[in-house]
Amino acid sequence: MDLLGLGSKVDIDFLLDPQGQRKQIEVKLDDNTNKRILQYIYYDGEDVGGTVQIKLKKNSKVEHQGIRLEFIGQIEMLNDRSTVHEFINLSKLLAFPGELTENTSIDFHFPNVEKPYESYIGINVKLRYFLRLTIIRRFTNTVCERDICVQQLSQYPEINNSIKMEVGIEDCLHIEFEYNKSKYHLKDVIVGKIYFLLVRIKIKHMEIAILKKESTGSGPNIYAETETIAKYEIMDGAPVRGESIPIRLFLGGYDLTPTMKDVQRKFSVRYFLNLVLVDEEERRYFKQQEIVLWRKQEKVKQKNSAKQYAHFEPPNPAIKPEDSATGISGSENSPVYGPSSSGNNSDSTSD
Amino acid sequence: MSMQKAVDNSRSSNAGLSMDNQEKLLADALQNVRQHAFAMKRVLDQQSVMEGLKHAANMLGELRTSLLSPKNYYELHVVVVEELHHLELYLTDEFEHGRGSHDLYEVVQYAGNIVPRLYLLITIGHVYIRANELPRREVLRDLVEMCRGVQHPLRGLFLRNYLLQCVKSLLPDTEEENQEATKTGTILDSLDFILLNFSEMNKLWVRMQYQGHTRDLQRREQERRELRILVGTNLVRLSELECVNVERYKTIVLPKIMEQVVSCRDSIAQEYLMECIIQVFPDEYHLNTLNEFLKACRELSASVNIRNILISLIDRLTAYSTRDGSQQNIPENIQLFDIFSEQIAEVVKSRINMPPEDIVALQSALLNLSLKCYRDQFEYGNKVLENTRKIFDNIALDTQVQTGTPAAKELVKMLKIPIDCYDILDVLKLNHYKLVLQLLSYRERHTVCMYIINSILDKETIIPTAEQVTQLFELLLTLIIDQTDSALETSRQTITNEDFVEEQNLVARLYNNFQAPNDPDQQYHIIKICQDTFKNGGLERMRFTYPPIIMQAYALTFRYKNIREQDEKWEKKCQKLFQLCNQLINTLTKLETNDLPLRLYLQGALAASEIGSENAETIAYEFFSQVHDNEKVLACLKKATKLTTQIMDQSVQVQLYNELLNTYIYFFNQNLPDIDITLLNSLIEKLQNEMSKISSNENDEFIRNQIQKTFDYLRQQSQLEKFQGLQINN
Repeated sequence: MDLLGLGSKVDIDFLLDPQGQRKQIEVKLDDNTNKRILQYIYYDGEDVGGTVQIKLKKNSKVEHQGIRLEFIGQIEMLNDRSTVHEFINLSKLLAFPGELTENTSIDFHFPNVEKPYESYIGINVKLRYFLRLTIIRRFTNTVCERDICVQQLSQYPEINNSIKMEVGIEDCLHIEFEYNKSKYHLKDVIVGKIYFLLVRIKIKHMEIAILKKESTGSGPNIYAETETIAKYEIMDGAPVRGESIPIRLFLGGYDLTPTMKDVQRKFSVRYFLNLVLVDEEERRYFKQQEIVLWRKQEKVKQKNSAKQYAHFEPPNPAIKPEDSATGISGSENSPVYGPSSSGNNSDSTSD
Repeated sequence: MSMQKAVDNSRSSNAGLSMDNQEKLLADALQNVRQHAFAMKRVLDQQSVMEGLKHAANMLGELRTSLLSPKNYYELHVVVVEELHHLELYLTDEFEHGRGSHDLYEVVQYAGNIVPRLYLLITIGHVYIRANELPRREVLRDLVEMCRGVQHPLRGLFLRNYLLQCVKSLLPDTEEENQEATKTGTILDSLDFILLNFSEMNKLWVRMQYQGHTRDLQRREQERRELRILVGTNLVRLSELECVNVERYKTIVLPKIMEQVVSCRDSIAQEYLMECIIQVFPDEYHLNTLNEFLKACRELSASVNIRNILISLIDRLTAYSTRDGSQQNIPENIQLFDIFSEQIAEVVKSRINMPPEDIVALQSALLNLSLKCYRDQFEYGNKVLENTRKIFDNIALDTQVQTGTPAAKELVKMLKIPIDCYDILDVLKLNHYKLVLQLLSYRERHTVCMYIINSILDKETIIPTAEQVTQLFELLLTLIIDQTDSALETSRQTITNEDFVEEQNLVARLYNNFQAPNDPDQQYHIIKICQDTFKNGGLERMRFTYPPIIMQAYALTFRYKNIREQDEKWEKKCQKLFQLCNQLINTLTKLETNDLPLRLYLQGALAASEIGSENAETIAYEFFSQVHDNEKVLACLKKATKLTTQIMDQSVQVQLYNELLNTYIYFFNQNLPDIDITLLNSLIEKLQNEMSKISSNENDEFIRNQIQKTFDYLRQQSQLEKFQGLQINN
């Protein structure tokens, strides 16, 4: 708990969930210590309320110019801490100027608070929501902040086509791959298949990686970071023409966020599936496809849903609209992409 | 798509293949497995499933190696699976005590590497099906599909083998009608499962053939043969399903298997799998799918040894049809012979380069089938023999199969089949047998003929008619007369060659089996046939073949005598027999040995005296007289005469002439044919001339007396008719 002020005479605490009904989530701190703290989860439009407790140290008094509480949503650029962009700031005066002589509890309530974005802690950017209590004093204000976590729930996407594409290197390798959707929720499972049309190289294995690309800034000052969230081997050995290799990748176990596009024109977070084939000479052939991640309202967890043995079924062509949503142009051979970065994940199993 | 040119040279694919290195690699891998397994068991004891799964995944990571030879990979696999069994037992136990976790099937799918992931998935799937945690048919389908992710042949084969072993007892084996079964699965789900697993395993197995350098081809093929049982296990499991019946086998199982077998176009796989099908499925299935099976045979790769496959099937059905000693196992609606006959003809036609020995081997199997399954239908066996002959005539008309070639060996084998399962009288009904025998060169014909004779002797088959004897001799001609194509052998066909002696002894022994028990005239015919046949065999053979005829003829005279009441011509017939014998023995006298004809003559004389027919005495006398060897005596006497003329001392010479004359007279009395009156006269004249030359001293007086006695005897005898024309001076 952050307590500012030299030789502060007060301890400040927020009671946000006296009944203990609100869900909490472990959040990684951005101070590189790997420490995690628990934060309450809020959704867009929800009230934010609770009680502020101010405890005085023994036999002390605090004179103040007023006590103010703010609800703030802001974007911080981590490589440039000076740039902070507030997109929400709600403020309340909890107490008029006066003197605190004993421990005090003050209830507060922000009704129907608009929380348009998801909380996010990335490499170069942090989007946070927090309550800030300020005891205004003559020389140094006493300030206490308390972060909350906001999750952005989405509706089921109306259009959710499969991703299907034929790619290859002429006279060398032709494959057709298909992922069952283009938009996945965070606990979803990616089901698909790779069909080998032509194999003239000695493939050693094939893996699928989830790449997270975070871009911040604008104009000439764009920073782009790519992070490999998961590396998942889907094939061992060399297939021959005609083989069809199943893909089934559960997302729930990985540290993923919803896709965020151009949040306050400050940053974007996008996800890609990278299909990588490695040949016996360690050459890597790959194809990246963007997928959209979204957060689904969590339901009571079903015991043994069928998705754990889901298989790719070709979608019914009757319901299938044009491929406009993802901008993939049918089964054209795809253009050449740049060399891939070697992944940074080890082969260890996920939790 | 693009490529990055970075090449990692540290991984050389053949790094692990030297033997020492292999042992070390295996030892290291086993060591790692044991460590991870130990850690796994320890945390499981502390009820920490998630930790246990992590250690299991690490242990299974050892199975990702590409460095071990198939044999060593197998060793490693055995140990890993054994350790994995602990995990399975632990989880099963958890479920039995109501503590099982419900999400493990999903949890293990987070494993980053596919090989450990799938081993874990199979293990959990196994536990979940048994605990009714997940629907059986869904899990089975899922597992067999997901295993597609391992395309590496060796790792894939062992992974799928583990899958099959795990679910072996869980495969649904119930009929479709059962409503309950739709959830737990039916026999159809099991069939889908195994057939898919089989196809995938076979593809992986075949793919091994094309990996690596061509110089290692032989080693690879050897390794593949060591692994074939992994593929075959699928077929074994199919055959164990109780709900697989003839109908399902015919409509689902066999077509699917065949589709894979044919399309893989790999001769090692095709040979093994066809053999495997024949061996693992019941005979009734084969009987009902003969056409399908044989049609598939025609579509196999050209390098497949189709012969072994077909023979294996034919032999199996032949054994089946004759099991329990009955021939009723083959349903009447299945024309076994016709189907095989046609299909084999098709197979032969479709394979232009099929070596003749393979064709013969196929015909052999077919012959075996026809003789055993259709014992009484000689036309089947005959048809096979006829076809065999035709095949060779089509290659080159009237050309013998070169001795020692595989085709010749196969033909010999083929020709032995009827001998083994029939007695000779039935074999003689196969009139194309002889024609096939004639295809062979001398040495192989010889082998077959000896085989025939030995068989007749062993089985003590009686050949009762002259006609059958004639037919038999046609078969055995190789042993009976000199063969034009045995030039090399002929020089050895003498009494000094043990093989020849043995061979001809056998031919002679055969004679004892020629018996027309109630028909002496038939027996007489047989004797005549034998004589007519053996007389072309040359003197060296007659030594062996004539004596039994002669003895048989003597025996026949006794039989005639026994029936003299019924047969008034019996004496005539006996007479004829004795004449025949006389003639035969006479031929034998040309041989170097004297005692054989001597004994035969004596035996004849004995027989004649026993018979006591009208002219028996004459015959007996004749035979006795023949005992002396005419020519030898004459030669001896001539030599003695020559020596006598050369003697210098006249008195001794005269004395010897006298001795000589006496000897001549003796033999003349014995009716030696070449000693006649003229010969005696010339000798007498000579003696008289010489006697006049010698002086008349006392010493010679004794000689004169001797000569005088000789002449006295002659004068006395000259009165007899026999001595008519004797000229003697007083």
